[in-house]
Amino acid sequence: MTKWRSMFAITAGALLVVSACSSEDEPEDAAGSTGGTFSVGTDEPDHLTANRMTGAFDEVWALYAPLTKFADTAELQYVQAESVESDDATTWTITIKDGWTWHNGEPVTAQNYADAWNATAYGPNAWGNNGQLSNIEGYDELNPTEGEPTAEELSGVEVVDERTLRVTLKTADSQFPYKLSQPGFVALPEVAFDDLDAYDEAPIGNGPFMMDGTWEHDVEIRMVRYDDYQGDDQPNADEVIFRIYSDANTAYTDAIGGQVDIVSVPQTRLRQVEQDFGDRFIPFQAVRLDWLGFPLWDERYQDIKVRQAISMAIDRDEVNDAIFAGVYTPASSFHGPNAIGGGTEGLCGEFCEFNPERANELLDESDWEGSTLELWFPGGVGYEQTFEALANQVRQNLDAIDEVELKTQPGFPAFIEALEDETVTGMFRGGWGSLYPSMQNQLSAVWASTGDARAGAGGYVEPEVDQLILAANAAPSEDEAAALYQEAEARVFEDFPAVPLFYATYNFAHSENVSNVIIGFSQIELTQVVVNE
Amino acid sequence: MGRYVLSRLAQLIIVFIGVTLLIYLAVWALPGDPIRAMAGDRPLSESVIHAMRERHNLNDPVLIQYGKYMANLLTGDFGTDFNGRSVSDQMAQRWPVSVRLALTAWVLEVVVGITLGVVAALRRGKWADYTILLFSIAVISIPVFVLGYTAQLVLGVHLGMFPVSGISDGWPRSYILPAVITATFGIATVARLVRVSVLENLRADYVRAAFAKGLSRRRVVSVHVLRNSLIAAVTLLGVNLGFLLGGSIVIEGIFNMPGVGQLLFRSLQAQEGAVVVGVATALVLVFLLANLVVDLLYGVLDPRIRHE
Repeated sequence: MTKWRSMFAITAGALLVVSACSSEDEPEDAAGSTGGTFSVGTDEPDHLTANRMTGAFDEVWALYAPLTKFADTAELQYVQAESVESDDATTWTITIKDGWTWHNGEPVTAQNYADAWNATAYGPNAWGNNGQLSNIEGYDELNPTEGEPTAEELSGVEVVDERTLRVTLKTADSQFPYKLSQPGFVALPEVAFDDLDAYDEAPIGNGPFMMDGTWEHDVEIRMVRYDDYQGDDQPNADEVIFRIYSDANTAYTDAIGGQVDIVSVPQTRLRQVEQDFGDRFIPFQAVRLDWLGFPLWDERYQDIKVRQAISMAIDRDEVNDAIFAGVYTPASSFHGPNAIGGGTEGLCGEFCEFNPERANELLDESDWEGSTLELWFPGGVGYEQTFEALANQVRQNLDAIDEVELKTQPGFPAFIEALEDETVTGMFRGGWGSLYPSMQNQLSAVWASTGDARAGAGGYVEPEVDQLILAANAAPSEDEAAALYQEAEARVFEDFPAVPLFYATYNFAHSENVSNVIIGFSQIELTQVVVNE
Repeated sequence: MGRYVLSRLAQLIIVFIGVTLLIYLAVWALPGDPIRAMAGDRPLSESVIHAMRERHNLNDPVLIQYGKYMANLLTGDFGTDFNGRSVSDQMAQRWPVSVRLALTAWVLEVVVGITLGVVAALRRGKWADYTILLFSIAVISIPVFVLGYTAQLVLGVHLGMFPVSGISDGWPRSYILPAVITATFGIATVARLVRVSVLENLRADYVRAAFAKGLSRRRVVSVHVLRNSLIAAVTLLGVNLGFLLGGSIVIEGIFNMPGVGQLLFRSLQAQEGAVVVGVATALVLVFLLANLVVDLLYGVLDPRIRHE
């Protein structure tokens, strides 16, 4: 019986797709829908308004349609945008698709985008994704270092007509269409501005799912499919429920019991996940790097050979197997193969290969003195095992080092403050997940001297790197841009300011109730999920 | 009696001010800027950090911050967390969960604990006594999170007798398993305590006199012995109630129950001063009130104890 019904569903689905193709004015809503309800385990979001939130990506990409997006490949997809064009990479014309509506039925207009961007960029609003708009002309007037803003709107955003925006950037940026995939660039409906805090409790978006009721804090967020959604990625399921967990381990246990359908796998469970979920464990290698940084302000770490020796003394494979059950990939550069342009694997050369003999030679040749190293990391957030393993590697494989002292900091705030105040006195944890898979993101945020996450680079400054990144940003074609970013990264490696460790993965697992679970750069592809009968 | 209660309540006010200041200072003394770490590795822009710090008075000296906090508190405003959620709303939402869990566990402690204690005492040296002894030693020695995870895995995941986590099934279904796990330690302790007191009292002169008067064993035990044996247990149960109401961070975490324990833990990690002070102060008050009730109960159980 079940088999018959599903066969019927497939045939019906196929027919509907065909008819949708043949007559444009047919409503698309039922195409491909397989119905059903599934649930996703999540932690309590900070906000549900896309431009405000910093930790609710799955919820936000269910509610909102971005202008552009990346699914599980580095190929850009146009969702709400019809085209994003520029002749000089500085002035961009964005045309949005016709016929899209908000969940309340109002049309999505270029003005909705301008309003949302102005609100996001307005410093005193204190919205989390403010920084993503920092290269738009007029941003500085809305975010003065001292005093009150002198403007309320970005001078670089101009509404040309109902469906066209013209955006002027401060500096040329060939990667702008990719940046548009970030949550800071979504539109907000007019009704949002009546009461932004009330809106945050039950956002009206333009995405594939809409709110069913309001956000029930610490319990759940319910959403149903939006029948007038105009995107190509029509949702399969009728309903998605985000169940809120305070502890990722509990969510994981619930998923084993089938009480929740899709969960993110905590790092501590990686070693048992194969046994618990088999092929229902889905790791996705995003553009995310873990590294060890050095306090370059400390003269003991000035000698490049010291840093290279430490890099060569770490058996990344062994740590990967022991801690991450081999799910991660040992890094041989800053960008794994999933980055646009194919990444930079191997760029680090022999210095990222495990070679204790050569490591000891390098350390002997260097002007290193002393037998103790320090390793700094934030405590209480699950990194303890990893850093103990790394400390052991360095201690065991470098003859001159008798002890690696773990400087566990009491939480993330203390760790970040120590980095920014340059009071860190040893190697430290570094990590960066790129919000869009262009090499630009990590390079300009971490390794450029103007990057806002440059604390993780340990005070690294190299004008040539800055110039190469700027040149890549202004490059006329994608290939040239990628080549220049690679060149910039290669230039960073000449100075070897940090030890690349792993290309990390997003790790998800799902119950037997669902199939076709695809993990990509914006985490779970919720519209693709099929609820099994 | 009335005066005693009044003076105890006056003490509460002093404790309240002391405790809020102390907790405020402690949270403030934690190293690092909580705003800067809000988005993890990805830093917020300078203007956003500045606006957030202004909004939450973090740029003021700590005593001014505390003053502003207390001034708001007097108007009934507990402030907001860094995401702009009202602290009183969060407490209003979470207290019922913790209270339900605590009371369920506490009633179990009272009923099961006292019953087991009495049974063990009356059947001293028989198999019932030994079984209860074995049970109490076992649950006292196993850490509560081991019990919690095991029960969750066996009874929840594999046998499906209880919901694995969450409170969506409501009371009592969602609360039974976590309440039992929370109560086990208390049950065992109360049972041991009651057993000893009952045994002591069974040997007391007044019991022998009561038997000599020809009273039935049931009446002697339930009216005379039990009442006198409960004083020690009441102290323990009173303190336990305050303790349980504070929410069990471990149990609330394992069973994903959105109670105050969880809120306190998360807020401490995120250095959410306003939330920590609000929740912790409420907890201190609950604890003090529970103790006051216990002290008053002594007088009821044993008329020789008087509060002047």
